[in-house]
Amino acid sequence: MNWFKYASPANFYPLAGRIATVAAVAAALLAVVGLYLGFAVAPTDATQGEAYRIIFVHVPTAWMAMFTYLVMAGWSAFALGLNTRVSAMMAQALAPTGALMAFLALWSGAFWGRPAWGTYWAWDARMTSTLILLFLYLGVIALRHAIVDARRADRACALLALVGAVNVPIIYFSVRWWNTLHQGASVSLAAAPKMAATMLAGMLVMSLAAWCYCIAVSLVRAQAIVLEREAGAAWVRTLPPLAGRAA
Amino acid sequence: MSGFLSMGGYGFYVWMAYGAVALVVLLESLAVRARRRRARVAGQRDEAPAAPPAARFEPPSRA
Repeated sequence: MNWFKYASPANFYPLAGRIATVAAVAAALLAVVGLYLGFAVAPTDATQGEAYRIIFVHVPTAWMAMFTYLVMAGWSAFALGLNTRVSAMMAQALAPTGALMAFLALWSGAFWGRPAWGTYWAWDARMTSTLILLFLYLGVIALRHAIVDARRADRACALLALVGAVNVPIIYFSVRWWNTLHQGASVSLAAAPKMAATMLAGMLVMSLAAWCYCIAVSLVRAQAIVLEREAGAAWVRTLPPLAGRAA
Repeated sequence: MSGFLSMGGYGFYVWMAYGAVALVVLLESLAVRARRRRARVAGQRDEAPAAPPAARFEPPSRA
């Protein structure tokens, strides 16, 4: 299979739409199962009561905030190295979703921190480095809007995204490197899980749902970006006209 | 039902966290779909790709 076929906006557009539809359906189904596991099956926590149920949105959004950044940096590397426009558009499409995931991780963390630690916010290593992640996303978005020429903006944003990627391992290892407020990793590939199996299952299913959601929503945004930047191109004009109010 | 909503006294924290996630998912989904629709309508109306605007300040020419 020739992957470079999809480096062409005209071929990328329908593929992105098909994957987005599948991912959106998968996200909805996984969220239903995950919420059922999280609220109906997983037991009440012995020390935290019901407040711990925030974990089923906190951990998935925090993971996706970090993972989306790495994917964005990866597409940025392709954009710089191969000079493929669709790679840059993918990086552009991921930034707002990543920013929202970082925001939700911080927000849900604040509303978990208050009952668990007695504070909404502390300048803890992991919380601070996640806040920096949110600022990096906002910086990439702002830089995009500050540069009028889209191709120059692609290169500048790619560079910023790649340099900022150094923050992701800092977030990941922050709970090991600095002994501040945030607890250690709940799940590790190297050790047995420290929580009940149903809690872990709920968390993993919700993480898959978040993953599918991020794929779906950023691919639809990528489609919009492709259309915006290819406006008037022959392949855009030959797409079937939209039904309804579009006129 | 009220027992479920109260979340053992932690209802405010749990539903503030879940409410924000639900709101973001709903609004972001609607926003990207609306943006794609607008871009498609505009992209089919435009004659040709918009040329990047000329630089506002020309770099000083070397004498």
